Amino acid sequence: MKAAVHGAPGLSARSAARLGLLVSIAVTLQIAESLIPRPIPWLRLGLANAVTLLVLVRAGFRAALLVTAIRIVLSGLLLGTFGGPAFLLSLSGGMAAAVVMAFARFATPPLSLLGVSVAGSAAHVLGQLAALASLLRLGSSVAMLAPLLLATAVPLGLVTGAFVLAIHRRVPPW
Amino acid sequence: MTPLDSPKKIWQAMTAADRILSATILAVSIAWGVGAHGSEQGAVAVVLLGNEECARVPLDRDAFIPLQGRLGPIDLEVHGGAIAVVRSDCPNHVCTAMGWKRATGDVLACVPNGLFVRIEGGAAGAQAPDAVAR
Repeated sequence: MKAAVHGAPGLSARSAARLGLLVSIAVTLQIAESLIPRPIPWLRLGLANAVTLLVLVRAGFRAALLVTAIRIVLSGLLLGTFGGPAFLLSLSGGMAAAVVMAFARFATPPLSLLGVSVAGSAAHVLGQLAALASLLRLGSSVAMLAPLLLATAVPLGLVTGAFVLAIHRRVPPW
Repeated sequence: MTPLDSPKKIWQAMTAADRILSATILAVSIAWGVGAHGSEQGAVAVVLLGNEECARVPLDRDAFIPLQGRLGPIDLEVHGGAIAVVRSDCPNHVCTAMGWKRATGDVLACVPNGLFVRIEGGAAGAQAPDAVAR
């Protein structure tokens, strides 16, 4: 039985509940990660992005975009960064990652989830840097950090991708 | 199915396209890093008088810059990569007391004389953003 959720045509109650669960997992991961001390402010594993990738693979682009947007807004509210620069960076990075991963899935020759995750990780870095440069006008400091952050996006993206691949293999299809 | 719990196993699980993409991103970041380092420009002091830019002074050469402020003469000096207001005809001399500035983002100001100096470019110094993204 597919009961439509009020106000969200095409979204069954089952998938709405599942997306809600995934959002809460993503928010938990994002906040947990924000509590870990980091050598550079922008450097983090991006486990919340793993949820975006999983939803992208399992439920499609729209769902992934939705889960990512809600995750970022909720995390912003819970961390007290909503509307501030940190929030805007998170939003531009998260959205860039979701969009790029959606395209990367259909690349030829085909990328595995590891490659898609690396693309998303790099897009996240570039999205944040673009926001940093345009919104906050910090051109020179961005140029200093960009190469380092972009380089770290590869190993971090691979680790995140390995998580997603493992989960995708083990969790039965929805 | 092998768990992906070591770099070697992750490497083996990657497709050719995965490896090409990863290598490309690494190559771009290295080229970017080398390029950004090579073309790095020294810091420049942007001097504004009465809200209008009147000079851009590179901080890598010592210089003496006499200016005419709203109240009278005002002298800037560049020495050893730093800039300071060394003389100003203003009531409180807050500007001369601000001392030498060298880091990107640093400012000097003499409000009564309508002078504002902002340091731009150069390496990200103490003024680089902190804790921006979580």
